[in-house]
Amino acid sequence: MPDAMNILVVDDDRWMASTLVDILSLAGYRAEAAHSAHEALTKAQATPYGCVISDIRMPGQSGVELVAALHQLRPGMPIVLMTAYASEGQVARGLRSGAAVVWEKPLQIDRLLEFLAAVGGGRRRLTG
Amino acid sequence: MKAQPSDSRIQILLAGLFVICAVGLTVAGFLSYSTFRTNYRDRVAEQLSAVAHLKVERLAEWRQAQLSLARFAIEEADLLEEIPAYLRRPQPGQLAEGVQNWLEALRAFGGYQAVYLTDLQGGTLLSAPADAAAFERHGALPPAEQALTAGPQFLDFHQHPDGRIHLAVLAPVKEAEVVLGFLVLDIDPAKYLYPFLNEWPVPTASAETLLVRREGEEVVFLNALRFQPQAALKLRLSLENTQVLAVRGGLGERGVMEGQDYRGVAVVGAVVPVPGTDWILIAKMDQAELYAPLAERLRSTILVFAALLALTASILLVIWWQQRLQAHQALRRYSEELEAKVSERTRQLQAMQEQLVAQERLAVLGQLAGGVGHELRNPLGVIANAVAFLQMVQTDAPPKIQEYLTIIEQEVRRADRIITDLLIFARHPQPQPREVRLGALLQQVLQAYPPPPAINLRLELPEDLPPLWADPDHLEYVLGNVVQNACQAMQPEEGILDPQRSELRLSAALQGDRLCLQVQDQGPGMSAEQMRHLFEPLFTTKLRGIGLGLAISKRLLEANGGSFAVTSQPGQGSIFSILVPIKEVL
Repeated sequence: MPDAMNILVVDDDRWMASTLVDILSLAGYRAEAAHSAHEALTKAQATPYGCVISDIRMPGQSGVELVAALHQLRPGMPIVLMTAYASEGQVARGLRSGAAVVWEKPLQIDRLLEFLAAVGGGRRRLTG
Repeated sequence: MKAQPSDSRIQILLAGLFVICAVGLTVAGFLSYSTFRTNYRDRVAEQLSAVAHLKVERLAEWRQAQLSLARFAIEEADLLEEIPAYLRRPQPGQLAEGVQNWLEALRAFGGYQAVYLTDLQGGTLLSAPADAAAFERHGALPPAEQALTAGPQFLDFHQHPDGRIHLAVLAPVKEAEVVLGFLVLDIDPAKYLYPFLNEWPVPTASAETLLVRREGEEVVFLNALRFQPQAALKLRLSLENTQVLAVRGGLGERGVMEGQDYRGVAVVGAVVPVPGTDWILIAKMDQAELYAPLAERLRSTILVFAALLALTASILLVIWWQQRLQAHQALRRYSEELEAKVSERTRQLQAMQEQLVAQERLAVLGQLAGGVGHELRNPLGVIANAVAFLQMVQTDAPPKIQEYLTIIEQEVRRADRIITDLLIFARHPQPQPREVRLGALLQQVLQAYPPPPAINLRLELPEDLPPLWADPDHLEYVLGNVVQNACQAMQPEEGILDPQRSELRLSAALQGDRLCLQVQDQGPGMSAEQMRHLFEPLFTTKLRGIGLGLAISKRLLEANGGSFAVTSQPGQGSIFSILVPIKEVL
């Protein structure tokens, strides 16, 4: 899939990251995992991802901080934040920092795929 | 409570009242008694005075009678020639015998003790009875010239050598204006005078009449005394004994007076002189006897007034006791009220304490549940991802495998709902109210919490309902929870459902500034006990679930300005009314 969207999945829970990567790969995306905000930033500098899906609570930098950093790096890049338990404040901060959506775990895969399809379509419309 | 006068104030008041009554009664008693005493003494004085005067009068009459008798006698003697003849020549013989007979007759007639015929010097010539002791004259006889004009006169009380008391009338016997001798009529006072003196109008134990006369610096008692029968002329008292009534009489005092008698006993007496004599008559009575009625009166007065005082004291005591009783009752009532208040307050405190403990426990539980829930969501998320992956991969897997993957997916979703409940419960809901259309809300709810197909859903929603004003997510949770509960009440397990009781009725109506959403089921209903615990966390009647749904719903609803109202009866089903504020029309 030459025009498949690059997606970075960020979660310190390796199983969470790998299952999502597998699902996204199965759905036709090029997906890879990072296990910390730091790793994610490093990878994002190297690769222009079409979308980043990140957990909020992680050791070191949080997902919300990652969103801010990624927006500086690649403004306009859609970011999905996931949380096992987000306080309303966290959700609000996440959305303010530029995240497209904040979803609670367990993720509803079909909703995620719908969102990604929309993002991809939008990008295709933008680029095409 | 009404303010009660204090017990001590009442005591003082009653004591004061008692003192006043006591003083009043004492004064009244004293006045009553002293009036009675004054009156009584006046009466006594009158009586004694009356007795004394009566006796004096009769004594005077008696003396007059004696003198008259003597006058008759000497007139007769003057007429009888034998007597002057005998006196001129007092010789025994026939003449003397005749005179003797006359004397005997005179003695018998007059009742005299003796009758004497004496010469001018007082020497006895003849006497009747003949053997009577010779007349011994005491004191000077009046001279013949004087006797001639004076006529008969008394020879005052005197004592014979034989010891007997005599009282005599001396009458001069004369012839042709010449006194020849004397006729002596010797009266025995014991025979008439003393009994008369000792007479008293009423029976008494101490009353008597005294006859005294003054002799120089002494008073002499003339009559036989009641308590000293031998006293006549023997009992003499010095004038120094001024306490003695007889002495006072001798000193010239007259009238009714108190003093002592010859025995030294306190007496009251009337002192009256006997006219024409040196005699002083005293009618007297012992004070003890005379004033016995006074003492009796005093006793009865004291008794009556003491009884009145005791009565007063009793009445005051009864009043005091009643007051005390009332105060006591008021106090008891007050203390009972207080006790009731205290126990009510204690009960409230206990309830609050229990509530606090429960809240604290719930807070801890909430935090714990929040933490655990958060940690569970990650593995649940991984499982959900894994299942999703397998479902995507195994599109042509055998039906059993697909069925099991679906089971895993559904159970993950259920576990997630429980965790969601725990997490909502653990944090305080912060509503973000917005305009909510009831139709849209119901659609979302029925999508998120779809009733089982066997349930007959009946919607009764008026068209023109105003929009609600609340957090839509909160409302969705609340309404969804109630709908889910209603469905589970009618169908606790799949396949268990009474077709006759399968209607789930959703209705709405305006109630003032709120909208009332009613969810009515035909389930088994609830007991009062179940109703009471309905909104408590961790309370559940269901086989599944941890009992947070309604607790969270209530919390969310109240945070949005709404409230619950539930009616239910065992066997009748339940009606949950959800009251939600409507959007204010600006």
